[in-house]
Amino acid sequence: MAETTIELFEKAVRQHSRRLLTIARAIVGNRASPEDVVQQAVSNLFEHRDRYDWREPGGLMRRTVVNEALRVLRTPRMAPVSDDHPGGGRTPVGGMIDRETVEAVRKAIDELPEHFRAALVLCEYENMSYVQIAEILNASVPQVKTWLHRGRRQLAQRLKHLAWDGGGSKRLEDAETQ
Amino acid sequence: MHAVEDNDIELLEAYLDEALAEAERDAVKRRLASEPDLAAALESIRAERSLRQTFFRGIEPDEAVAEDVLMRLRQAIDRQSEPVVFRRALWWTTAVAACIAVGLALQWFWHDAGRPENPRPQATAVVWEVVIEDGEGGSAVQRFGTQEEADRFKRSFEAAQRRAVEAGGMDAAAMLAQDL
Repeated sequence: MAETTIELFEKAVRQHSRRLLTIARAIVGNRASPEDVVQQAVSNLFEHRDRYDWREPGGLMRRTVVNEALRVLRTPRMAPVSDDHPGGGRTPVGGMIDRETVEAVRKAIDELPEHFRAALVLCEYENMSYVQIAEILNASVPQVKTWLHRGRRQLAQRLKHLAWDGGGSKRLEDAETQ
Repeated sequence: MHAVEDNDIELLEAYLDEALAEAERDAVKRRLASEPDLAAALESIRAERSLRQTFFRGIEPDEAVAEDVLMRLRQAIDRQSEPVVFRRALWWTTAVAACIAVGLALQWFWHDAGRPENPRPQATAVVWEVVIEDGEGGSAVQRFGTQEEADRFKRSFEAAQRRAVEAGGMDAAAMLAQDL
């Protein structure tokens, strides 16, 4: 029997929610709750659920979450959200990089302009092409390339000490070869 | 020895992003084989990228958080669907009440219009119109000869609406039709 729109919708949310939360988190940092961003974005989609094809919802959901995250960031600045919310404080990937490195990377990413952050997470976490990122961020491909390049260079500058002392990168390489 | 320029870095980034055409990729590979500085720059960029990817994977929430979001979403959707029914019901009630109040359509016509000996209009009928609008552009008109009949219809309609809301958003008009 064919699944109903609501069943497909729920399946899509269940399937993509972790990735959507990660994207939201990477973009909003601690300026807003990623859970709220995802919930609002997905509620908006639910409201107009009959307009969309729920058999291939990944792109649609990503785009909606990115737009909602950017919209939230454009609203007047609110108090930072605590980093203690679930999933926020744990050491990533089974301790492959230490907490200071995580904090340094988090802080450096957080200081980037919002579009740089969004482009980076879509490129390096979601492995999306420049064309797809441009579409989601409503920008041109050259703009996306510039954002990525500048974002990466700014991060490299801010995290230079980690590379120099063999900090994060070295530890990461060691962990990956194990 | 070639100095690594900013545009080389951009090229290497595109290389790692797999955003280069095949010919460009091959050209980069040839340069990497012959330019140690460029190869070192690539390794450095690759390490930075790995660090960021590890960070992104690290901020992935666990299943419990994702499940919590799903639960909150279900609750929000449930809350969202209730007011839709109530809003709609309220709209109908308002529309009916407003139309009862102003729905007196006094139909005039000129008896023997145009005749100079009888220029005054005369009221021939008083009709109470109840216009029911569904808030989405649809409407229906019920006409009654007396205010009492119109009021009775309004009360029945409102009662049907209340039951429709309680029954989970059924059409009030269908409920009313069952009563009639």
